[in-house]
Amino acid sequence: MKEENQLLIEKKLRSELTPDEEDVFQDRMKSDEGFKESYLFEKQLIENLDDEDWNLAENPNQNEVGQYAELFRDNQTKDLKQTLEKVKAEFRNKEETHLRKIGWIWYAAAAAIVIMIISIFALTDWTQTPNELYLSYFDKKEMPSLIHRGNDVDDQLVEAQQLFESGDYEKALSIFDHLIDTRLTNRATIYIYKGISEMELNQYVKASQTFNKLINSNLMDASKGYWFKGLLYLKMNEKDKAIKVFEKIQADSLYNHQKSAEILNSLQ
Amino acid sequence: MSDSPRYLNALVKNDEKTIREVYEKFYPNVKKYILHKNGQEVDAEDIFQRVLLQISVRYRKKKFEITSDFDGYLFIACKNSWIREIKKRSKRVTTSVSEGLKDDAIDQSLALLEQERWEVFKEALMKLSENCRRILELFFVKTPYGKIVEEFDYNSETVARQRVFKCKAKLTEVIKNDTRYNSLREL
Repeated sequence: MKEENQLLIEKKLRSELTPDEEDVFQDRMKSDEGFKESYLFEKQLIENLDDEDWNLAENPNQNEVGQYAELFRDNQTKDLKQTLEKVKAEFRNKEETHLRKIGWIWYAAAAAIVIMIISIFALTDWTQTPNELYLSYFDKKEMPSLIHRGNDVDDQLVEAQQLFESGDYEKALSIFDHLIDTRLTNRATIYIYKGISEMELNQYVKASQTFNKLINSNLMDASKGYWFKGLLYLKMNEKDKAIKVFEKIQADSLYNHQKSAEILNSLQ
Repeated sequence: MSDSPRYLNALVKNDEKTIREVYEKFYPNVKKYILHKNGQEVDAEDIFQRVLLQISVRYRKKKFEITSDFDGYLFIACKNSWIREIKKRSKRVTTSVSEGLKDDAIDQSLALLEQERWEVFKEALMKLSENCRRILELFFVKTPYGKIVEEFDYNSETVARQRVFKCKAKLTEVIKNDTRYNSLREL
């Protein structure tokens, strides 16, 4: 497709057309079938792949719609719907009973130690904060090792890992900065160590840039960058940003997607 | 091994015991998500039920495969269904009453096919290189080119545009080569 047309479609989908450009767009849609097809496809792309949008069907006459509608109307589906209604009602009753039970226990306890309980419950946030989640889910012991058995001993890697493990992130970081510029192997792990060192030194912008570089690289472990970026946001108490990252990890089944689901549960 | 076939068969066979298990294990997460996204409990119940019906009908017509856990698949399908509902509600304000009263079986069929089309697009995106995927993800959420240049250390917006163009062309090729897309393109 011509670059000019591509640009016109892109601006339309981003709602950035001027009134004159809008006229040109409408003319093209009427007179150029190829242009119209490209626009409709591009619209499908954007609406399907923007996680906060949805591509609604516009053609109820499409072949399969009628075939599926028959199945939705048949007795088998009606029977399943009845079962779902029954199970839903049971589940709701169970939940309500559970809540009532909890309510009663709470009432009894509150009656027994009124002021103390009320003050504790009123003043304490019992959900885990993003920062607490960071502390629960970041474990240095689970970090991949920089040094692999069988490799020739690499003094710089050994020193960097030792400094990192002993918590001397500043010195470790100066070695990682050098390693990232010079090493061709094990680069994803070096990026991770570098980013975490920056994170531990509260250099959040730098840490974010480091994890982005990992994510945007062509390295095999590039997607691990999302996990560490998520942890970074937790440490920064940036709840909404953390949720977005962990949702992506979960949706695309990336590294640590099950842990991400647990974190999302605690955050939402 | 994926637990999906067991749950899919339970839906098709109307196996009450396993359906109860589906509610107990998977509904709380969906409810939490929808409440978090400004929905009500009744919305969560409705979405959960509709998605289970859609999955069952789709599986009856063609035995599709769920490669992830059933839990993950069901959650994403419910999340999509809620985003769809919000979009529909915002459109309904501007459409006629008769449009709003569309046959529910038709609406369920459309929702099912939209989900199928979404899976084709999402799977195609996953087939691209990590670099292409990442740049397109930014592009699809309407990130300004200036920001893309910063994120990727490109020299200029022109370079970023060219990269987006190439990645999008690759993605388009993968989608159009997927046989499932042929029947869904006219949806």
